[in-house]
Amino acid sequence: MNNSVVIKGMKSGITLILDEELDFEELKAQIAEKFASSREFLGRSDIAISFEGRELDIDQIKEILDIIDINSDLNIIYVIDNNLEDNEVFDKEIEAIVRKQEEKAGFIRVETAARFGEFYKGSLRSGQSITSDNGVIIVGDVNAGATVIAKGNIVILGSIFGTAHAGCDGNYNAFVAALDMRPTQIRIGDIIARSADKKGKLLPAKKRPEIAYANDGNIYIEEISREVLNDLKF
Amino acid sequence: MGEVIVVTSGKGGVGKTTTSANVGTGLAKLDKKVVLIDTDIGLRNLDVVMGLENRIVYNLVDVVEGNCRIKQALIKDKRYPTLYLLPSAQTRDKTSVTPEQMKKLTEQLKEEFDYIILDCPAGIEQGFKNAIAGADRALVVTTPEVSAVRDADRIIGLLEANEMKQTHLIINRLRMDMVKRGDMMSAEDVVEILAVDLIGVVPDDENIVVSTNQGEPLVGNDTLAGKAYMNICRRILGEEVPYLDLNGKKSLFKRIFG
Repeated sequence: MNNSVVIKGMKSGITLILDEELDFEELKAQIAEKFASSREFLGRSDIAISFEGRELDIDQIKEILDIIDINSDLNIIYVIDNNLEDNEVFDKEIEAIVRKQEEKAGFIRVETAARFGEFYKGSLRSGQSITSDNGVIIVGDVNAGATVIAKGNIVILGSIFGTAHAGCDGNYNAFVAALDMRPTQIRIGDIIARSADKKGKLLPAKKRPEIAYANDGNIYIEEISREVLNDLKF
Repeated sequence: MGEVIVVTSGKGGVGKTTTSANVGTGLAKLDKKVVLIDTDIGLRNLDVVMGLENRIVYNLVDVVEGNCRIKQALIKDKRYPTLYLLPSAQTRDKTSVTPEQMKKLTEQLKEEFDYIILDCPAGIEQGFKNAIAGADRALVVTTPEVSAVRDADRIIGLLEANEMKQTHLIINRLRMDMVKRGDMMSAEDVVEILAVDLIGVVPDDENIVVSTNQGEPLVGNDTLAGKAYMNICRRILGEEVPYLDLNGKKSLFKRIFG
């Protein structure tokens, strides 16, 4: 068994333990072979790398990174300098990178949620609820006591008396539209708007379709018009 | 330390929720700090009767499952500053909560409130067991009908088996004209059958329907039912209150013309 190159996993990447004695050209060949044979196992991800066992200069590190790039699907995003041994800085850097990528992924999720919709036929009665990672279109009514929760927009081709929560993972650009808007509550992102306190009687049916949207931390309900539609940001 | 009161009946439709709403509101009117808990998971009504449905964000199941703090789920009443409502979940069922969890919850609420009123669901299954778990006192609601009285008797038996400390009876929707004609059991008849202490008799009053639809409990106002509920609240506080003359206006009418 040849142990001149060893790959060791760590929290956010890998450590490459290299033989101190071996000739650099020979070592490069060994690294290439090692990564090529573990290509499947290592997979395709963004990782950090550090080196142990041998002093390397900048050019040598560059050469090794090129070899890894060719012989694996890994994407090296950070090289840890062991001479610094400043792990705190390293951890912070990694965290920032990871967060940035998550935000990017989250942004994509919000985007898709706003663009896709699931259709439901029939009315939701009290106690029934629909939860979706996308938008929701209901061909029917949403009665009082029923709930619709969606990461995207909510469109109701009927009356809404219950609760609708659009953009539930924090998308304030989401909206709720209905042919007859008389909801108990509308929520967009984490903003909550409730109906006015009525005295027993049902509000009269709305004659025109309306849309609820968020602006500056408030939820507004307006008749659907060209101006309102132009202002939508999804 | 507060007192936990469960409002129960066995039979549905006899007025548990109306009684809970009015007793809770009445005690708050008498300056007590009160929290109403709707334990009817899946068929919640108390929020509607209290006119607070549109304020619900979190509910009983959220509290029990730790999705939110108790304070976040408590809805402050719009009329009385010392009255709060913990609404039930509508999209879940009775098995979402256990008696142990209810006991723990009421223990916590006891420290801050004078009265915790639990609106119990109809039936004798899990929902009933949840509601009575942490209760110190039970108000058994019945109407003067054989079926309701039969169910009340069953409930009182179960409460005794569960070692309820105090059980009181409320007779609801009594119609004096029918009693006089001999078509309805009198309050005395019901008490004789059930053999528990009576704490109130509420007449059948169409104002109840109006108040329920408006989401505005009528306790303490000038209607017969409003007065009867207020008397129940005073008796809960330990006051001696004489029973109302339920013959009301009709007897006056009869006295003159009859």
